[in-house]
Amino acid sequence: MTSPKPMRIEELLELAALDAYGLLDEYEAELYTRSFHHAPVAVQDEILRIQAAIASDQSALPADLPSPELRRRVLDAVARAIEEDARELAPLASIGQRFAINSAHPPAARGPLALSGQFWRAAALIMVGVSIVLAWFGAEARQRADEISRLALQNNTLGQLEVLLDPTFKQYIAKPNCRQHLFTNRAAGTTMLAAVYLDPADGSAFLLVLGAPTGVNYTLRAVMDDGTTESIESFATSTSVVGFRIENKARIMTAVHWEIVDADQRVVLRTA
Amino acid sequence: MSQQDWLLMRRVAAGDEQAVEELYNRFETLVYKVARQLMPTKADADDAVQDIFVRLWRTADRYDPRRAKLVTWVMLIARRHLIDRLRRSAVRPAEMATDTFAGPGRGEPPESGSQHDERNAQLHRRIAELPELQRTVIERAYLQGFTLRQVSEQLDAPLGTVKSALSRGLMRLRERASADWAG
Repeated sequence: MTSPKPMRIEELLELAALDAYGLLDEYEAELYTRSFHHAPVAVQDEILRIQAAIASDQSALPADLPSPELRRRVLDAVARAIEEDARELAPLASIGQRFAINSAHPPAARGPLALSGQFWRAAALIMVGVSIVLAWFGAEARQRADEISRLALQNNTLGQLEVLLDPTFKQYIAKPNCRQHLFTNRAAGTTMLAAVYLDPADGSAFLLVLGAPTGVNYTLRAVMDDGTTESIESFATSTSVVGFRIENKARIMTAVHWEIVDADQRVVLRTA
Repeated sequence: MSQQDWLLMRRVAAGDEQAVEELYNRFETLVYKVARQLMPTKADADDAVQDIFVRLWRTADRYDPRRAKLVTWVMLIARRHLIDRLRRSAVRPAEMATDTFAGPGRGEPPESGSQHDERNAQLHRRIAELPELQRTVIERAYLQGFTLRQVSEQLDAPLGTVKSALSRGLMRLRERASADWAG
């Protein structure tokens, strides 16, 4: 059975309003979308413009305004839904525990962890956080961000994350004074993503690296406000996900930047 | 703007509550107004708005800026939800004449708030001024939530005719509303 022919441009423009209002039935909506993607870019842009004008037009709508109480109610409802959804994902933590992680520190005990919704939300935020950073580097970086997110959600990496992001890490993200700093790429060809979490209260930190090339040595260092640098910890990568806790570094909490450098002291990643 | 909107929705999809708040701030008025237009009472509209933003979070990862601007996407999700609610509602007469169409009142006492009543009265007047087919199709598809196929069957009219009537009718309503606002 052959697919129906795409709609003519005139039809696309005529039905733009119905499509924007969601008034096309399922079959027609699908045909409309397919036809849209077949249309010239100028026509697509015109349809986007028409539909946005229709969608934002308030002239035929009532003058009522939402109450402040509704705002609180909606935001609470969404927060509850997010929390509930994240709790349902917790059983995934038991998947993929076969893989070893590279770390100078002994891995946390394996086994299913009682991971809270907040943990998974934070893990997801990490992924999106680094995706946001990458997105500023354009479409290629965006594709890379999608790859990293997929990498992170694969069973084996999920198992790695489960071990890395143990209750210790949970404490970081749960504390109100925990600060997250995302790294951006500073060297051509670098595709790693990283974030460092700082707890000024006890001078500890946690470094998380995703998409690391294997078999490479790096050093995490802090750049102080007088321009001097202090090496914090060296690490070698044998898997694409690296994470470890750093203790007793109260002085470097005041660093203006954090950097990850390679064996040649080339700055590969840097925080803003 | 479209890259920023894509980033915003990615953050919403990841459960970033700040991003959800940003989304709400941008679209609360628009979503609320269309909910008030289509729901019988203020309480129903409030419930609908809550459900709509939860749905926006659930579907945020499907947002594609190449296919629609964010306002279009948000309003599409909103209208689809409102139409679903209308369809599930037991209060939907098989036939309605425009002069008896109670709109948000639906047989209940009209909501207090003279502005709301006036705007709805205006909308009904504009709909009443449309050619008969356009008026009927708009009432049934746009305000009562029947599918276009159902309307086509109810009116024993070809589907293409129904679609054209709806499209032209909505365009005329917008033109008249814009002219009234500008005038």
